[in-house]
Amino acid sequence: MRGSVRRSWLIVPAHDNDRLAEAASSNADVVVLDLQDTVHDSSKHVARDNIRDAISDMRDAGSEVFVRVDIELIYADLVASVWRGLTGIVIPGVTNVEQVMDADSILTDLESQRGVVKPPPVGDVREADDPRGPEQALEIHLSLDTGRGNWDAQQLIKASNRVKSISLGRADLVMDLRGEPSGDLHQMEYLMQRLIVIANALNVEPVGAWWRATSRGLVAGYDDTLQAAIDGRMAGFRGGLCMRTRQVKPMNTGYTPSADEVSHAEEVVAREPTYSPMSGIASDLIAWSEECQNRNRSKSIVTAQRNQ
Amino acid sequence: MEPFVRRSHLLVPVLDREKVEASWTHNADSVILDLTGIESEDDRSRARSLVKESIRHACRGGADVFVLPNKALARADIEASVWPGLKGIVYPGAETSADIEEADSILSELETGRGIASGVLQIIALIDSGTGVWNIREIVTASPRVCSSGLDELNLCRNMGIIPYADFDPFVYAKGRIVVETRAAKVQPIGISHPYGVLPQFDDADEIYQLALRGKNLGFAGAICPDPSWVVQCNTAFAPPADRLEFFRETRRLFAEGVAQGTAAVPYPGTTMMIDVPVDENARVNLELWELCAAREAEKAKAIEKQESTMA
Amino acid sequence: MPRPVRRSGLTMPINNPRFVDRSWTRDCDYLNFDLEDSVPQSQKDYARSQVRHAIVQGQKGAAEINIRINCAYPDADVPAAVWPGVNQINFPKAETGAQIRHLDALITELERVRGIRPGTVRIGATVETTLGVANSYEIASASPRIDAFGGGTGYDMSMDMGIEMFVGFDQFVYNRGEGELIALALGLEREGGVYMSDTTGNVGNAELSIKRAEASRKAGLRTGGGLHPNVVAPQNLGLTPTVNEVEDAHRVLSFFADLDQRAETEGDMDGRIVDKYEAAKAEELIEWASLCAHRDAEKSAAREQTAAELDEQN
Repeated sequence: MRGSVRRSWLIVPAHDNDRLAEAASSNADVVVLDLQDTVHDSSKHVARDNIRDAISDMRDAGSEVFVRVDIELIYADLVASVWRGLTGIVIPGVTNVEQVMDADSILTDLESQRGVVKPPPVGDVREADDPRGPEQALEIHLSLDTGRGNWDAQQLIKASNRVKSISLGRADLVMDLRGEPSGDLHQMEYLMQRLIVIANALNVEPVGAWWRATSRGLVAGYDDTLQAAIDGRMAGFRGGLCMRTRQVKPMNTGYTPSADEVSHAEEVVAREPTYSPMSGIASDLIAWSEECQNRNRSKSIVTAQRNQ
Repeated sequence: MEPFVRRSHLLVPVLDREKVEASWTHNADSVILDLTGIESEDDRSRARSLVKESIRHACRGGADVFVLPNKALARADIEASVWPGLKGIVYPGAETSADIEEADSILSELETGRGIASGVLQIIALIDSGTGVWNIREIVTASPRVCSSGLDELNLCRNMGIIPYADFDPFVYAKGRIVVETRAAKVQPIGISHPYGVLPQFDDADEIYQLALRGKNLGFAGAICPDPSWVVQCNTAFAPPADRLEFFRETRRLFAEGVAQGTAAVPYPGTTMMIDVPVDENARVNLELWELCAAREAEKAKAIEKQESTMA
Repeated sequence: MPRPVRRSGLTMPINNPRFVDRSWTRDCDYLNFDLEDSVPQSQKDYARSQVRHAIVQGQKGAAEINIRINCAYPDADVPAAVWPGVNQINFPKAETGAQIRHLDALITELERVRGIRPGTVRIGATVETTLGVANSYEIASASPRIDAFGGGTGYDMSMDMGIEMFVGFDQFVYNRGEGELIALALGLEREGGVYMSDTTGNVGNAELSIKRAEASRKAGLRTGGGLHPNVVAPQNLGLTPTVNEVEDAHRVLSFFADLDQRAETEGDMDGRIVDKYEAAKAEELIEWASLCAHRDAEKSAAREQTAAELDEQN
């Protein structure tokens, strides 16, 4: 029904070897190699040089790999990133359709020049003569962190078939949304629920967690992260972005249905008629839980193989 | 469209004959005969064959009667439903103006075919997807038949991959959008406050009232009642508060006096409140709605009287 | 043009000489002289004739002068309102871009004829109906004279939505959300509010006003306004950065400069994350504090001057 299981998207500065090594043992569903905000201008070239090897390290560790590019430096960032093992790119700061189309065509050129296609799910092996179709095109994730980007979200998503997922990115910082007396971030409830509606309307995955003003969002501690993930799942997200390896576990946990939830859902399915929406919601939960278990299993297989 | 009052829409499964036969006794402003949730083809045919008679039962208390068809089998269900006494249909899962336009032409065909005045049948648009929420403007303006709109919250949860929890309202944005766009088009938004749209309860009269009132204060004009226990609470909550009528009347009187004397702001004695144009206008709007609600109650009472005299 | 400072403002009927003649003493950043709802029909003509007098009075305290016109008759109100010294025409119950474009054209012609520098007079478009919320984008983008925008809330909006206000929960999440998002998308000043539960509906509560203003400032908002003089001082205070905040902002900036020197993007300053975003917030705060101080000095000087002139006369 929906895409891959991507409960945790760990953003890691691509120039920092220590942080890269940490990320490789973080158990994140997705590692986002960062060329943007966490990489100082003077370190960009080091970061770019690291990308190709980092992609395969993260794949070997059982994670999908994205690269977060800087929209002002997109050409150089994409040249550094389009290598075997990459699943897609994260583009923050998008405000117009031309930017999305530009990224799409640079990706097309590089895919073609380098013979790069999106890899199969983690743990599968791609055969040399597997058919290449639009499903193998590298993905674009739009981090809609500006007012304009959010307002025009529909057009931006439609600008390329590669767009498969969206988030608010660091909208709290870029749009300067601060804490209110309630503990929520100004405008966040509106922006997140709006994003989820648009994502559903356009059949792309919304990514995000329900951060509160108590912690600085993407670098929150364990408990705040777990709560943000649980609340995010209630809102309709199935994964969130984070910036520290300690956040991966609570994210994975928060986005995975608990055993109690699954057994309750099984009761509902047994009791309710199949056409009822409650029954549908419950079977979707059971299916999601199975997909999460599969994802956990394939990660274990891959890391076991690597450790042999 | 003429102003109308539909604070409570009692939902009644067509196959539940007991409920159908009692549907007119609960004082609902509207009754929705439900053709969804039927599994077997045989049961569906049977249900369709019962609609005409069910409309007659549901009408007896003066309620406006609608039919809720299956989305996928709409044509057959609607054909089974258009009979004298029907006020209109519910369109489940509307997503675009094309959906409403299609329903509009089916209704036109049937009106002509069955000797019902052209254009009288109305449409309540229910939204159950992100697409529908996003497209609400084109949906409510697609046809003059559209009288009301609302969220089908459980199916919306299903389609958006949201699991309903009492403590978290996932539809603040969606409800806000529905209310604003629907009222902007002079159509009535219907709904109730979280969590009763996804986890309805029927045993706590005060809670039902509070959530209906909260729904009214979100901008809804009425709600769908899955159970008769909601009807009286919705009829009360979606009407202006009875204990403020005197205040509204006095406000209007004082302001009219003030205007005659050339002022634009009149203090309301015993309060720090100033009555100006918007305050007076608010009083007028509330009194108008009160009159409409009173008229609705009178209509329904008359229909009941008529029943009792025919039965006597 | 430097960023306007509009922490506090009072809306008052222009036909009330008591209010107008004392308006300069209120310490408002802006004054909103009303030709609309607080002026009865029978007094509209008289009210129009009072604009030039109101400008003079308001300027005695160096307030920005706004005139709220009637959305139903801009053609009659605008020529009465656009005089040298007027900063903004407020258009209530805005519902379409066409209304704003028409208003812009009226103002443009009057600037030309009366020798006011083109573009001086701004437009404040207020959304007060559900149709206005639905059309907010076309309204906010209809004229370059609009430099601020916010969500539709308030009394008239409540009537149009069929709701009672002050019932203990946030009834305008969608409306405010749309208005502020549009402001951000168009690069306009965000006229927003922070929801704080209020079941009293009391417009003159100073304590509540200061809490609200502080909460707004902390949420990153910068504008205020109201009906009752009691809210002016709280808003001026609550929306101005404190001395401690300014000091702290300077620390953040120098901390970030060090980080940047060391080719780092992020650091920990006493348990707080500092990065380029925190540095940007700090810069904005310092600039805002300076603008507030300048504004306060302007207003003070004007009041002193006016007081001196009054003394001389007596």
